[in-house]
Amino acid sequence: MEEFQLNNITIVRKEAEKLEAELNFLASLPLFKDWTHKALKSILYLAPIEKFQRGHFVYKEGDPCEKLYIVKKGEFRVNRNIILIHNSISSLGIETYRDQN
Amino acid sequence: MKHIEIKTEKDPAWNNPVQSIRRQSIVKKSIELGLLGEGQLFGEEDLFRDGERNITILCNSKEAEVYAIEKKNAISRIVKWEQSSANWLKKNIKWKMQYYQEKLKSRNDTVTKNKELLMFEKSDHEIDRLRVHITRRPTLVDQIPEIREQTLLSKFIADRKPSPPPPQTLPQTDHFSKKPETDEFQKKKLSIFQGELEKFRKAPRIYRRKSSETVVSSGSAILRSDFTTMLNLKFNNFKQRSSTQAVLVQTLRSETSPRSPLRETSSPLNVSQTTRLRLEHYIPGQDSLNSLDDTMDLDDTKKATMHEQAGSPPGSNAVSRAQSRLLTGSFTNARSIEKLPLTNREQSPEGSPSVIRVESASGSKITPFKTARTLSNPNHRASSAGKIRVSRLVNKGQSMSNLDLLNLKKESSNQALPIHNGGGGKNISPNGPPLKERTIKIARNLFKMLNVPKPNSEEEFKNIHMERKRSLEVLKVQNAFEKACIRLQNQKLAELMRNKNLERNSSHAYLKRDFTNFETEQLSKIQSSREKYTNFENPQISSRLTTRLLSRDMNRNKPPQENFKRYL
Repeated sequence: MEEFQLNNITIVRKEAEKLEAELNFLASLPLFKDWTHKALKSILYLAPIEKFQRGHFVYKEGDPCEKLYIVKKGEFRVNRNIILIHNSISSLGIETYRDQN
Repeated sequence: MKHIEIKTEKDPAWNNPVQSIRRQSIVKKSIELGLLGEGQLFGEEDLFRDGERNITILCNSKEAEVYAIEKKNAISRIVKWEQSSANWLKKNIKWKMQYYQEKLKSRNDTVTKNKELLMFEKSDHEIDRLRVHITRRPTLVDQIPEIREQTLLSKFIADRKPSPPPPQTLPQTDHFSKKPETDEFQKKKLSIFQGELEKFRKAPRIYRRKSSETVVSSGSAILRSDFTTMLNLKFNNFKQRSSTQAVLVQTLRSETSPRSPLRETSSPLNVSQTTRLRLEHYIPGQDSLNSLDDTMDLDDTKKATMHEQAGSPPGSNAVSRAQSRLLTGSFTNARSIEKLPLTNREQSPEGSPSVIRVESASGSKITPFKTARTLSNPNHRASSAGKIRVSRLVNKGQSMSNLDLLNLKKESSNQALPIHNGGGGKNISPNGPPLKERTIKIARNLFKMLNVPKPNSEEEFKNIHMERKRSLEVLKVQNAFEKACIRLQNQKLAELMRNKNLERNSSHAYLKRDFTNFETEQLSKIQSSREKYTNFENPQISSRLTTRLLSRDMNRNKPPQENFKRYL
């Protein structure tokens, strides 16, 4: 029983350390600069972690905006689709476009 | 910066021409605006507005993690709870948007700066295609023979004055009649001309033959412009000059050779017989005297006097021509000239009557003179059938014009000059068959070209002719002699070559003979050696040696191929 209790304690400690690390990470962000530990905790519980691999789209142009993302680990590219127009009427230039899928 | 919505194939506006052009001319590309790392936010720009995402976020690392906070929670917990964080978010959004805009602007500038260097896959291809299409067009137009012909024909029509109606054999065409020349009318003209041209091209011989036949049948015989006839004419001229010592008037149409069968058979227009003439074929709008002047190369002053003599203004038509002919004496029996009303077919394009009736003193009638060819076909020999030409006359070595003749005529108490023909001074029909201008020119320049002095008499002419013949014969003989010489030389060379070959062969044979001698000698030697070897005391050794030696000798005597195989 004692061993079981000891193991539980270690797990809890580790989880607590993780949580603290996450809270510290959030606290380091300028968005949550003056935030309390409790408030950060509440936010942390509301923000699940999503994992992505290389080449996966988080969201695309035209998608509905539903979430706010905070990068915990890794890098993300910000892209924008443009069109190069070469007409006799309209001079060459960049314009944004949106496919209506 | 505009925002364009490109529609998909499902939309009804997909096949809109504007959309299709836009699709062809645009190139889609996704440019990178930024890279986000740990602790950075994205997707906050769309928190405060309802709409769609403006940017795409793509994972760039092998494994990446993000905190995903829903919009509701973010607004309720972050924005509403902490004012500072809300302000920071707004600032961050502004800064981000500005950054992206700057990035796009910089890209746009680079594109505009390096416009010439950029390669647009679709648009450039299209432009090149169009360019090729445009550049090909004029070349194609030039290359098409039909169009070329059309242009030529149009020029021809523009330059050419309207000609009289075509003969009976040809299909009746009304394209020369006086009509307001609309585009359709011109097109018709072109098509008809094209048809005629094509016919002429396809079967030129048949066409000519046909036309000549028609000419003969109609009465105005065409004289084939042969060199022999020209020579005969020259003869006649010389005779006339020597006999009369006067100036003679002859139309080149009447300069038919006495031998020509056409004259006897088909030219019915002897002046003695003819009483009425129809001069159908003249170039409308062109003065006959002008045509005379053209042929005669008269001076302006002479032209004027000519017109005065003819009693008509320079701009008059065939009447003046007929009058002039009367004055010159080509129609000695003619009494009066009348203008006849034309039928529908004979109507000239100008609307003025073109037929002239010349009546004789006797009052007898003659069948109307019909010419076969029109001026529509310039290639035809009889195209100049309607022109009156006056030959160049010579009086004591001096060339005289028709005007001089007229002056002389006045002086000679109004007596019509006799019309002389070659030889026996027969009267020649004034409307005899014409000669081609080329042949006339050739005949005129013949003596110049040949560097032969102009003969003053028939004898001289004959002498010159004979000399030429002789010289030609001499040349022929010389050529034959040269050819014979060349043949002989070739034969000699061939003989020499043969001898050389024989010598070579003989030398080769001699060598062969030597070689055979050498072989026999060698064989004799071998035989002698064999005898030697066989004389050994030990029979075994001797046998071995003999076999070895024999084999060696045999190998030597074998052909090279076998030796080579053995060697291998």
